[in-house]
Amino acid sequence: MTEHRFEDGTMWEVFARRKFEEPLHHVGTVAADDAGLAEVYARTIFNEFTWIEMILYPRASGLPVLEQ
Amino acid sequence: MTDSSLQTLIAGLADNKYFLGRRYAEWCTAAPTLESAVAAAAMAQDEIGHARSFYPVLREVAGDSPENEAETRTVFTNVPFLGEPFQSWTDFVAANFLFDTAITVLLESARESSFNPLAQRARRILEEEPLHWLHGEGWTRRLAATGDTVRNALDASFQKAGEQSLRWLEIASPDLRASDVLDTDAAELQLRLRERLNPILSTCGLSDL
Repeated sequence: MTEHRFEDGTMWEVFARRKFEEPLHHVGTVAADDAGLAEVYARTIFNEFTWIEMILYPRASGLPVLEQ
Repeated sequence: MTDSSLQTLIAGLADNKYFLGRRYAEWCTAAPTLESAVAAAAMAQDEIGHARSFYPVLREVAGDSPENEAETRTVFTNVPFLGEPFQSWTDFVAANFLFDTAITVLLESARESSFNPLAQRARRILEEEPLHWLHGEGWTRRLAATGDTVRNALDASFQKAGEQSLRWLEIASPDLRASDVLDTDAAELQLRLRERLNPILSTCGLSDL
């Protein structure tokens, strides 16, 4: 059986909330090469609740405020 | 419309969704990344759920019989390439991107079906399919960009699955169109499938359907 291995793709930060009165919470990260796959992975991995909103950000788009 | 063409259509949808789900499930622990393993599990669950919704309709149109139950059926009408385990992840992606899309194209032609049990299920299933499309498209683009060896392997998987996907659409017999069970015929469905897939296949350097 052929198995293809890849380097890690872009890291995407996943935020979601269950109620309108709640803020978005960071629920985890997924690795994916493009936004479409990131959406699939986020929706299938973080499906423990009925979210009303879920948003993805590529980690690289973040603005560092305090750096290590 | 003949009862037999409707039975063939419903059996084809039920059996192919069932085997698509079974084949996806075999990759839940073998996909190239953990993320895609979870996606494979989720899509397997979706497909088996779709199959589960079609078998009662098959009993409705073909009668109560052990042959019309998923668990006791001995003769299935799935396409040949779903009859055995996928040999590689490229086979998985071919089934996901080409064959699942062929089923989607057919279900889109049944949204307003005169056979209401089919119309209801088509509309419900089509709500879940965009995520499967994104997975198939994303992996097609990713594998095609990985290098000649992988792209050639993908092309070989796609040629096999593509031929069988187009042939499977011939299940849309003229009498199903004439009785408004489907909104068009097999030739038009094949054209719709090609129009949906070929622009992406071309962009990826893969053979057209």
